[in-house]
Amino acid sequence: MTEYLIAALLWISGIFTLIAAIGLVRFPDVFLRMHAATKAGAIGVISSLMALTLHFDDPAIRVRALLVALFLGITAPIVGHVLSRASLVANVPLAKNTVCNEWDGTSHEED
Amino acid sequence: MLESITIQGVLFLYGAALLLALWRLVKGPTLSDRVVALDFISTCLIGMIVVDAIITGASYFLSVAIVAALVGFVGSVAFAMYIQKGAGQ
Repeated sequence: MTEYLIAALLWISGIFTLIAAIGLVRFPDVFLRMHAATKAGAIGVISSLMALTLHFDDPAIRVRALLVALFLGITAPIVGHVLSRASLVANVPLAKNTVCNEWDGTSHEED
Repeated sequence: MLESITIQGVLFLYGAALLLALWRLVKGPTLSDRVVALDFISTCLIGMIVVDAIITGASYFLSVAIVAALVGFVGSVAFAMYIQKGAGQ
């Protein structure tokens, strides 16, 4: 029973990672590519870590895998936010059919 | 023991994702695209390390995954700061 769950989690991990890579190639804009790569990629890695948590019996390894999953769940949105803010300040061109851009052209930094 | 179709299929999916990300890394029009592709490649690397730890039963690969996650995060943030500072010149 547990082996089927591990296999299902591994397949979910691989499929989500491939979907993230397809989005990274197919989307027209750096912000949309970031949206695909950070969210779906994080879900893929976290589900493979859940499979590793089910596979090993040692509680120390399970806690370590959960900590890696927690770290990835925290840092993936941080990386997406920091990179999107930096590329917005650096005037990276948006996609042609962008509907709304509320940025006023200033970076609001105190330096 | 896991069936070999699962292991080979999952590693094939990860390899295909790495090839697509490599294509974006080579082609990407701006520097931000390349940094996003590098961040995704490091995330894929962590996933492949974890799958390999499940296959071989060697739990010490998890420490390698921790270090890879830390290095990937710090590298992406450093590239983001570089992009933002380069805009102000």
